[in-house]
Amino acid sequence: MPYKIRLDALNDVLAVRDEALFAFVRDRCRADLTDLDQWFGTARPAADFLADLMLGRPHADADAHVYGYCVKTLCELWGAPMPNDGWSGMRYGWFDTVSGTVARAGVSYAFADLVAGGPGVDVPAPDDFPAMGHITRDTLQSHLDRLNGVDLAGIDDRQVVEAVRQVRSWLQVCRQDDMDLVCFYH
Amino acid sequence: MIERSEQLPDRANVRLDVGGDDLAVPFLTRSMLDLWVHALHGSNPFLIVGRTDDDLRFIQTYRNAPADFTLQYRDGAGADVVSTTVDAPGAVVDLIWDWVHDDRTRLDRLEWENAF
Repeated sequence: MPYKIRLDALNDVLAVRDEALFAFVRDRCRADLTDLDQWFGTARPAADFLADLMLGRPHADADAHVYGYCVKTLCELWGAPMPNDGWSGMRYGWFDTVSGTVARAGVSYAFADLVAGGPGVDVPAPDDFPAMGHITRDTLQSHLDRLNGVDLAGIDDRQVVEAVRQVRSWLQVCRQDDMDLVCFYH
Repeated sequence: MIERSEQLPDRANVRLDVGGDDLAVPFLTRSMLDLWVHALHGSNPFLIVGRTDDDLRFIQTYRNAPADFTLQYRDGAGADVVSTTVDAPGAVVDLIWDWVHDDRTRLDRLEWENAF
């Protein structure tokens, strides 16, 4: 799932480390946090992981993946999701399929990197999911330049074409809105 | 002048409504405002920042298109709602934050008309 968000502002807000602000976010995101508790059944509730992030507490080693999902929750609150039909309900191998097809069209672009390197917020790397990546707004154009070099007319696989077009649109929208791109895969 | 927290001078005590939802934020920082303004989308892409002590003192923005914002403000019962357009979310953030802090320097450079 891709989000456009202002990562510098998000990190500024996390640095406030204020109990009242945390309580506000916890209450606004209660439904998402409850879902996380139901999905993962972790010993600590998801709200505690969110509190670690927002109050500057040490990160827990156990169930570190919950931090990533908390960042996704913050993206729901302070960012905007973007359409991802071309990248939903997919196996991880779809990244390589699209990259391979694009490479045969003459452009090297690792689509898996969209969900690698972390979400732009300091969280522990999860053992598996969610896979998270981000592209800051100062580098959006270079990504666009590379993907604009793909001759989509020369690609027969319409799903690949749609997937590439969709990533282009994410980059274009983020550039237009002066926002960063954060992607999650789980 | 908006009352600010003694601990952190960049916190403003205001009312905040995003998309018709009164968020009851404990305070507003410029970064929080930056996040919400940039993320305005969907069927109700508007945001209102108001004084806590006067419902008729507010500034509000509606995102007409990605690079087209209507910005309006009212300075109390004796004042009209005035309106202008702004073409970038970052500029909207600057202007709202200026209004919150009673700094009219940049606001006064814009051309305003009565909204109604």
